[in-house]
Amino acid sequence: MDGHGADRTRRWTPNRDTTGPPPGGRPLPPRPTETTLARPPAPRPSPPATASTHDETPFEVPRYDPARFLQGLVATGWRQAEERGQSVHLQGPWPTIAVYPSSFAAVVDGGQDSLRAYAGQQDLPRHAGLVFTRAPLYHVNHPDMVPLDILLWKLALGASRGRLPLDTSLDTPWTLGEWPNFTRLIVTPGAMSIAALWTRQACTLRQTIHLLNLPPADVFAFYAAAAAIDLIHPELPPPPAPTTRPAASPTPPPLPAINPTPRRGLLRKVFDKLRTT
Amino acid sequence: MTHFKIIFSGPVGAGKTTAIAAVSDIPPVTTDTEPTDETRNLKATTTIAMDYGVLHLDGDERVHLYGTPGQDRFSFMRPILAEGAIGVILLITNTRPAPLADLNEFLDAFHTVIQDTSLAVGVTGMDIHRHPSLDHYRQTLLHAHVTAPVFEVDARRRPDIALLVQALLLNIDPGLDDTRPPPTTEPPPAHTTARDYW
Repeated sequence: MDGHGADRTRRWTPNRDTTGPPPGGRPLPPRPTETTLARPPAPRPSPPATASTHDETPFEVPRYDPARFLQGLVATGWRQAEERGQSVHLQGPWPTIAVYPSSFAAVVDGGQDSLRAYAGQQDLPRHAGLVFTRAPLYHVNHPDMVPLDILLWKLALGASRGRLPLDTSLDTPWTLGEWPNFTRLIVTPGAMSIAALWTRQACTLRQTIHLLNLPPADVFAFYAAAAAIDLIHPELPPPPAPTTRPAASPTPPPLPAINPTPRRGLLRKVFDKLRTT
Repeated sequence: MTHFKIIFSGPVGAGKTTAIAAVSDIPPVTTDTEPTDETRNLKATTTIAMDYGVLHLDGDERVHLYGTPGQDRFSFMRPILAEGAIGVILLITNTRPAPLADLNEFLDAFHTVIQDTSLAVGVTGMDIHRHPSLDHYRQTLLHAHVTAPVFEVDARRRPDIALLVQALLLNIDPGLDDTRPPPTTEPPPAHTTARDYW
């Protein structure tokens, strides 16, 4: 980095309110749920709440705040750099991360896996310095260049560790706009099944745990990663029809079902063979 | 003895023969020959009838893997091979001049099979040409009212092709991977250790 054009006076600031995706560009990363980076440390989290699936099997719902991890820092740095039309270098006790919004890529000093030890450290972004620049630090074909979605997916998994982002409801029906590019992402346990389900029908987290018989932590980890790259969207209820009758009490959405194919036995054998060999 | 088949299709040079070889339990049986048309500028040999591989399962069960010829003049083979298939793997390469047109052509060719079964799309050559992006492929599928997984693949890498076929199967039945015991009614442990997913 030669620092040419860099705004060295600019340091980490809490999120500014931003607009939606740029015209014709990639969607901006979801905004971290809180602007805690400039706040004093939050109190220690209370013990995880418990919930239950449709059949009342209880399970824990541990939470985490993406904004307090590298995941949130990269997402916010990306968004701010996109707005400025610049790249940004995220500096701190971790290997420097250079984010290039225009090419939807990042370069991590020493390779992306060098961030693994830092991804799960809470409040690390409080030590962040953001340097915006128009002068790319790395060549576009740098061997350590990684697509941003791959990096954010990993950082989200490292931060989540099976926990659900704050303020995410267990009972909001979610859909997946598209299958993640699993050949280039970490495939967590159950991730492909969840993707298949959510691209087909809206489903709450609670329903997903029940329908796919997955450990809640696996569902939460997938949710955290997919949400980090903006693949997940809530299914909004249809607007109420105009009526003169008194409004009926809201009814819970019906539990979706997976109708097993008659060939499930055979397909499962093929699936397992491809997994194990 | 039960036999099923999965179809690998796509244009010339997309990697169908290589993909079948990557997952087949036997060396693929090919009907390659030296091309006599414009294909000779692309590759030394090309498939003229079909490629064949197999996945052996428990007992006598097996799944046949058929690769269709990529050249248009052998397109009559596609519906013949696709009859009764579990699903279709479409391999499209970014190294050809109009990959999205290729995708549309093969969506049309397998329209009925895809409607009745399942589709997964693997895009090869993205290390050479990043465009069209996966988003462009997804938009093309959306326009054709098809929902399918779209992955970047290297046809030589078994993990890539295995994941693509697994996604094809889950697209048929998302509950396929549920082999875990039913949840217990016992309360959760007082302390659950966070799990490392990276």
